[in-house]
Amino acid sequence: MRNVWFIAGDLLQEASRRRWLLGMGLAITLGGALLGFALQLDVADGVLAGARLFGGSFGNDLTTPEAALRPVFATAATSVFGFGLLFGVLSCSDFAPTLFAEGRIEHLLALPIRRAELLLGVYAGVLAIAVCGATYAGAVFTLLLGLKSGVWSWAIFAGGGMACVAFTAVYAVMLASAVFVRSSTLSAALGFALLFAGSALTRPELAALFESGPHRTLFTAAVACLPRFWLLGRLGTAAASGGVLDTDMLRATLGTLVFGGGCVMLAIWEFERKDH
Amino acid sequence: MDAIAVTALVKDYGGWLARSKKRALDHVTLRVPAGSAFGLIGPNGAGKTTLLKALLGVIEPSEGHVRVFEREPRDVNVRRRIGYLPERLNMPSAFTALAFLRSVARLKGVAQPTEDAERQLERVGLHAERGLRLGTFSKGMRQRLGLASALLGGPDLLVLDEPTDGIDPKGRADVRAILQEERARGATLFLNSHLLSETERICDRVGFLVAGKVLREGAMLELCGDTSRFNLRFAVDSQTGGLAALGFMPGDQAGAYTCVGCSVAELNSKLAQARESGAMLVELAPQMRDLEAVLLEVMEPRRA
Repeated sequence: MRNVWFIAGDLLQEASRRRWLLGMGLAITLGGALLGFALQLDVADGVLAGARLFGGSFGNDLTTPEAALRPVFATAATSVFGFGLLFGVLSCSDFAPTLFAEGRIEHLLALPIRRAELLLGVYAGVLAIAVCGATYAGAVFTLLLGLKSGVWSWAIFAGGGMACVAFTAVYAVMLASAVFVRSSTLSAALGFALLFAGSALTRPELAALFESGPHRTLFTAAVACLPRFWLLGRLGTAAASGGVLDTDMLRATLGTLVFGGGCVMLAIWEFERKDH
Repeated sequence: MDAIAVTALVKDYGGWLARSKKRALDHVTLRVPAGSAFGLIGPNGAGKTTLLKALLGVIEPSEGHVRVFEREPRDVNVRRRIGYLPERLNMPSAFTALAFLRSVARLKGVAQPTEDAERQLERVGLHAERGLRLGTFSKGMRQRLGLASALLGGPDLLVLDEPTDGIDPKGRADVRAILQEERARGATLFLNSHLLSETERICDRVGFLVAGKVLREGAMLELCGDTSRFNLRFAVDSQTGGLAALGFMPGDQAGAYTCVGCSVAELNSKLAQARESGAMLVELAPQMRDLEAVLLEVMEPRRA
């Protein structure tokens, strides 16, 4: 198990020295900061308060500042969730294919480490990058909104947290694809495809578009095993805005983790038997 | 004890989707005694790298067995005793030389990773470059660093694929010296090199792998030595006048002679007569053919 952390640590070290990755993070931070400080966000403070964004009210003028700002925090949490996942797929797609490159993989496999440890190390390392990224994004948004509105809330971190949960499944698919076919492009494409499928195809409204009968049943069965990212996003938003958490959301969280675990198991199974 | 024992090893490439299977190794049987230096020789595409990968458990045999120190090569405890240098070691370019070695040492379970990494960097002549990123390293420097990574932890078996590839002549001499030190320490060497002269200098056993088959294998002396041709050197100030009459052919240097086409018994008989006539023998050795000649001889039937 110690080797898993060593490999994850090496991957983090490698990621921290990737200039394009750091540059992209910096660019997003600067973009966010510019947008944040340009926002017209006013809070009329008092026992009862209202908030205005871009000069318009939220329709909840007479309430506490925390309650008035809930929609803003919810939007921020949703942004962290969505953009975090997109950034994660884009930035992490080549870690596994690089590690599996000729001349590197046989060197690693000749070391006294188990193949499963190597794969789990990569998975853990990438998830650690995701957690760092989500924490960073949450901190930036919290700081911006806190400075602008004077209301400090940790709620935005919920969006980042749910993005990390979703990413466990997304990266598991990317990792498995890299084990079968060593290609960062394919890995990223499958990551985006799963994001799309989990955010759009699994919505019940979409199934309702099919005629009831075998077509709808077939479609529902086809998407049944896919993780429900839209529910995870909603969970993050609900947590950020003090909304109600329902059992569907929690089931979706568990389902996503199980789906990710299954994909990692598949990757390990193939990796164990594969010649390099 | 054998450090490596390969029995009837077969490796086929091409899965169930492939139109045809390619047999990379065809019933290879090989034994490498512990403490020896074994050189694997063969043309391109002979299956040398495949054999090396099978020894390390990187690929699974289709048939047959591979045992390293009498155990499966995929056994973690066996791989702890192996140092491996691949032909084209692909290293993370963002790492420094020291960070890379430290990482490998940690994964090898070396007790003091930093100290060992520093020591091996010193041995391969890269200590001054330990803080440089690998992206800035030349091919020769990468090769030396790869050797340093193989040496980490003092392995009992060194499996080296083209260890001197891209290294300058001075560096090659350094690598040879390191490999001699490792042998003196008791390590077994398994060397795959296209540079036959390097193999001749380092190895005491060789195996010729052609088209996936081991066509000849054994001690260097057995394979390259000629039992009917001997080189002799007699003391210059002794009576060498009658040697030509006994069948010894004079060589280029003073006192040097060759005995061609005689058995060991005939040679001893002639030597006894030479001594009686006052000639004093200083040196006697079977004539050695170089590995290139033996390789061509091994491959000749296939070419025909």
